[in-house]
Amino acid sequence: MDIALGGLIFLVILLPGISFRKGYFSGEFSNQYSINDFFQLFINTLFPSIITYLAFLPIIFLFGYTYDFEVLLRILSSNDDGVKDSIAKIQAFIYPIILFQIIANLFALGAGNYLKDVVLSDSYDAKNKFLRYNNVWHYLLTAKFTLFERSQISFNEHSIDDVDITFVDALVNTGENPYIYTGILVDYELASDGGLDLIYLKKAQRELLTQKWNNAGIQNINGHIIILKYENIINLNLSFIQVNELKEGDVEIHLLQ
Amino acid sequence: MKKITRNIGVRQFNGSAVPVGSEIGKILINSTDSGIVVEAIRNTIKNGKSETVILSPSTKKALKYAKGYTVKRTTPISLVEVSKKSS
Repeated sequence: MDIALGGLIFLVILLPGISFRKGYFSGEFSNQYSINDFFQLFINTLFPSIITYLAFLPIIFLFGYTYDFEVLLRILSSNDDGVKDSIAKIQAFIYPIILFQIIANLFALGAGNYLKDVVLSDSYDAKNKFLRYNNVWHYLLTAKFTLFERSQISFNEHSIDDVDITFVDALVNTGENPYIYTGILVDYELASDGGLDLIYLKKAQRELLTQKWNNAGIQNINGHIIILKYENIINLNLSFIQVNELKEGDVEIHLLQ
Repeated sequence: MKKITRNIGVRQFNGSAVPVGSEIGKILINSTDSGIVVEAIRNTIKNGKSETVILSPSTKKALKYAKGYTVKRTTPISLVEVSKKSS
């Protein structure tokens, strides 16, 4: 057997699993999608691939096709004649195979994305460690960490659905004098390793830490947004705010309890 | 009890990316009243007491739009169309 050909066949077989992972680990969880180790790739994609192929079995049967495991095994064997015969059989059905792979991969991608939505919508990922994503910042900045089983902090009167605005106090080291930046957290960016890279604040103010306790020297930062690099941040203080609408159309602002 | 409605849309955790706030929060921090809103937030955090923010008519209208209310147009559609045609 040609090792490169065998590897290629394995990769094609595992493609639906790879697509499923692409859908499931998308957005802020994409750092978990990449796998460098082939063994890990095999382990993590085999199960969703098998599920996809099984799900499609009755559908392709309706069109008069089925999976030919003999062809697959022969192509992975060391018998040259068997490999040639298998390649010839694959070539005879190349277009249906390509079409099937495209549809199966799109299905797996959609299924992964849908499953991610289901897990996230009711915060099953925060409640169940087995489903938890490897992205601690997502849980911290969205207040979902309060749902962790291990967490000793929780809201008594509110739930995490009530968070309307997240307010940040960031102690930032910019040289000799550390500053405290405060503002409304509008977004964040993760580094490729899953760590926090940038945070974006709106309506920010800053003041020297040494002047903090006498309220002197608070500076409004004009502009739309300020971007703080996490490597300069010493610590972050998060406050979760709820906004209630009142009868007159005005709003009442309070801290989550 | 002053509270009459649940916040717009309630925070969504699914979708392509999970935001750090809700739709009502987004409207408020991008409105012309964002300055007084952030000031109220700072006071709330400092004192631990709730603060009421009197919103401008434009922000109230934006909140109503977000809820799907029909808001009376200040310029009739027919006039907009006429002015476009004449220009």
